[in-house]
Amino acid sequence: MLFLALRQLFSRPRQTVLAILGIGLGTTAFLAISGMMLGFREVIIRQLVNSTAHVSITPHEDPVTEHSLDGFFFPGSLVKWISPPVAKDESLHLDFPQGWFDRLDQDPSVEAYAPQFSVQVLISRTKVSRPIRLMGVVASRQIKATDIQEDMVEGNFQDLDKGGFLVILGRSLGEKMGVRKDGAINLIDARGASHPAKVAGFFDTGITDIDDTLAYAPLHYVQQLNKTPGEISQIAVRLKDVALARATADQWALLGRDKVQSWDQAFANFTTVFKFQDIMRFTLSWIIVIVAAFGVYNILNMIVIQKRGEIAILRSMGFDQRDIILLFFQQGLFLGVCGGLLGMGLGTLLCLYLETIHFGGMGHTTIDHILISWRLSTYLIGFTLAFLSGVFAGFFPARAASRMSPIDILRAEGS
Amino acid sequence: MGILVKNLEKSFGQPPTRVLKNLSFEIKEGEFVAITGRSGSGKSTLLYTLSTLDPLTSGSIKLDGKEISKLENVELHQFRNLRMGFVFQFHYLLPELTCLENILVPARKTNRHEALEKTALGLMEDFEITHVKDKVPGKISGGERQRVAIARALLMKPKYLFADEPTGNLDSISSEKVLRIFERVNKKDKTTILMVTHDMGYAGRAGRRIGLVDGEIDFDRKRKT
Repeated sequence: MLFLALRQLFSRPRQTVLAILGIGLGTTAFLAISGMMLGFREVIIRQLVNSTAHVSITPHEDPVTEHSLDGFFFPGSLVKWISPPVAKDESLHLDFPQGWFDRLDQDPSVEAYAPQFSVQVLISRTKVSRPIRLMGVVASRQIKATDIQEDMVEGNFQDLDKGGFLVILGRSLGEKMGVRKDGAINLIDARGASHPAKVAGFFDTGITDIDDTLAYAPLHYVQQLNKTPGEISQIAVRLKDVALARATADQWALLGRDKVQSWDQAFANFTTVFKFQDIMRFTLSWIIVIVAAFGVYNILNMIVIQKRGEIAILRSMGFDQRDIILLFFQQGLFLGVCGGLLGMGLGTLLCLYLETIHFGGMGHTTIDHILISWRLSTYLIGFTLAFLSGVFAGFFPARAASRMSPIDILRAEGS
Repeated sequence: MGILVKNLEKSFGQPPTRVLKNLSFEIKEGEFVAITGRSGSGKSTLLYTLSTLDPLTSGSIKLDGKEISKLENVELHQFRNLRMGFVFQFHYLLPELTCLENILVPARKTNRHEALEKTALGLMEDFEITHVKDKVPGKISGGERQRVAIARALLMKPKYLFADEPTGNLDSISSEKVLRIFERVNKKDKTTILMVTHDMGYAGRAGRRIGLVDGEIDFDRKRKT
């Protein structure tokens, strides 16, 4: 029946081309919208994941509730609060970091990990001072656990391990402080003591919040500055498979009181936005595809009505209901497949064009043009949507045609 | 073995209207039968019922000894494809296909369209329509279209040819050509032909005439040879 199906389609070139265009443009729109949304998302995720860690282990922070002290004084004791407590039972450092190191060293899913110790300080130079987070790291471990080395725009991150009180600043922070590489700055701790340090380089993650407020320094210098030698406030872990971050974090969280978070849990607001984007993207795409499918449905329905007599004669010649379904269903499939292929072609061209559109830098982010994701799965979904629109649009007219009684048609045509 | 009809009843609608009333007759293989009658006499309904297109209400129709109401769907479609040919008042050719492709349509059911192309061309030659082989139905005359439709009905060398007013839309010259084809096919290939017509002149060309009045057989006469 494919021969007849194609002949019927090609005998109406204008309608056929319009139907294919309808599906094709729907698919194009889906690919362009998805490409842009996912492209932007991938960059954000890469920046978030790589500049922080797949999983971070930080000290526990439990809220104090009315029952927190139950059983504290003697077994079964209850504490009656005059006014309910509003507080947090938290620590500024991990209680037993060595235990984590031993565990992470043995875990086959762990690619690398880096101990960190962060304190709030004031960075000052001449009359300019800004509050920042100073993160003490072991450079050789930090570059394995995160992509900070790739974000370096000046200097080498490993220089931190060379000795001396060196710091690496975010590029935008350096600009605001008016300091260059090898320049001197002062770090003022919470007690007001000033610690001179030398700038060893600059990084640029593309995320303004990080680049404006973070500085790296050797771990033991930061511990000394805070007068807390040996303390660790965070362990950044890189897994072999980032997709397992959440599951791994959930599993590790059960091992003790320390807070274990995957990157997407830490940036939950972003993942909420991504979910919302997905809903928008699929809703919009389905609307486009449904509209295109209605176009195909209308055309096929019209053909079925026009071809009633021919359906009757085909049935009289021994073609059964299945043949009639195939005749019209194949037309829907053909339109769906052609529309899908056209959409993938046009979608690729449109995405290539969109990628060239520059809109200038946004503050200190590295995003200065439309970002496009070239995921194969997006194209497969786009093609599947087009194909399904053809399937659904073809099925109902085909079924209606197959249910027509040849004798009823002949009587109606004869009357 | 032919067609054996016993106590055939056909009713339509609610309350049922009896269109065919207790008909019984036999059509032998190789007969050319004209079914005649006025409009509403039930002649087309009889043809459609005999040709398996319309189910009967009660009674029995045996085609080559097989009770058609008991045929399975697959068997019924095979029966129609291989043993029956249909010609209607309107040609119902597929407008997007050439005349040759139209003739070959029944063979597509069993993927024998390439094997039967020679047969199709032979039929076109017999019916003097070779010149329209590559033309679409919209570009040829009404008489030529009907001859293409007859060639299509005869492609599979059916045992039975059912024709419903095949000359109804044709001028006298074209009608004459169609009737000559019927006579030739009946004589040469021994094809059993059942033709519905209201034209008594054309009916007279058949070997047997069955006249219907209000769903009942008014007369059943063989032509004197």
